Amino acid sequence: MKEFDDMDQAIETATPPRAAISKLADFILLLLACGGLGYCAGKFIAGGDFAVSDGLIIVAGTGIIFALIQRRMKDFPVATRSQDARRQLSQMAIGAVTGVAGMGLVLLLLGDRLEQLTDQRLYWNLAAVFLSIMYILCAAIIAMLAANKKMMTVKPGEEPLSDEEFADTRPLLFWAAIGMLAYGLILGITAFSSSNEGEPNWFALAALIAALAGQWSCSYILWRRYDELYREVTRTACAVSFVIIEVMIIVWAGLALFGFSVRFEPMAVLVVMMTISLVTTLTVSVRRGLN
Amino acid sequence: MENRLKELRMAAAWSQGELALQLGVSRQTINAVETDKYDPSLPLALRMAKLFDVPVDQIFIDQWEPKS
Repeated sequence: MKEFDDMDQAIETATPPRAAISKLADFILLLLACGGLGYCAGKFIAGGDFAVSDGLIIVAGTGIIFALIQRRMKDFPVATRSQDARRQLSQMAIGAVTGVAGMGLVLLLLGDRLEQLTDQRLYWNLAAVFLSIMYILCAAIIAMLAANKKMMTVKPGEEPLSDEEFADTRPLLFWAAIGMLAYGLILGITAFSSSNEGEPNWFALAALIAALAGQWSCSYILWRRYDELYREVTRTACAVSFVIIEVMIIVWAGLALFGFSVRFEPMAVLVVMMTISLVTTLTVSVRRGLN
Repeated sequence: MENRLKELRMAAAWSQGELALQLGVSRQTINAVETDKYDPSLPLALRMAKLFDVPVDQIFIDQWEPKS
């Protein structure tokens, strides 16, 4: 067996972890920025009048997101920082164009249905549509990564992918994209079909079960074909999501049952659960290096 | 937990992908371990020790000491 004497040197040279409080602050700022932008997007979808304050929210939200990205760039080695910045900026530009085009397409295809939901004051359904778009955008981004090796961002300390590694990774990205798309469909189907009151909607139920089966199949394939890092991320994300959802559901149900005029609707439960699941999965993936 | 996997890998002149292939895991797993984001399972840690021909505690650095 080889012997090593420079244990202290290894400890000193190891990358220091960023302070947890700093990460939490970043996360809260990001939530606020996304919340502000989401509010403005919702107002736009609902056809509300824009005020000066909305413009300020958009500028502030965009500024915060840019500042956070710049802050995270500090994690990259100085030697590759300008190259990484260029790559990130080009990806952001592609993301912005895709986002605007996607929103335009959504309004073109579903504008009347969204207006209907607004008229009926089905705000949780509107939130479900927004979340569904988020899932579908995530699926599109993952699909783009699977399509082109150059799109794969290299993380700090990580070496660029070889062609063989990329060929191995592609099927996993493909299944992950299909899984995210299935989640988006589940939300979209429930959001648009739950407003039809009266007769049972068998078509919507069949579509929901098909999307759910597709999602479960993708998760199973990923679980079997990926390695222990993916399984660890999945286990942790499921456990954290369960703890948060358990507390929220108990408190929420309590408020509804004890006469606090809080409504406990299936659509609201679904939206809250799926939001927590998405945020938790993304957070755990980033923290564990699976991003 | 801190580790010296990168140091050992560089000494062996392997890329992350080559090491991942030998250990039967993804390259992301190797990167996550090297950047202290993920502590590998016991079987993987033992495989690493076998591959580099060093004891596990020479790869992973634990600061814990028993109370006297």
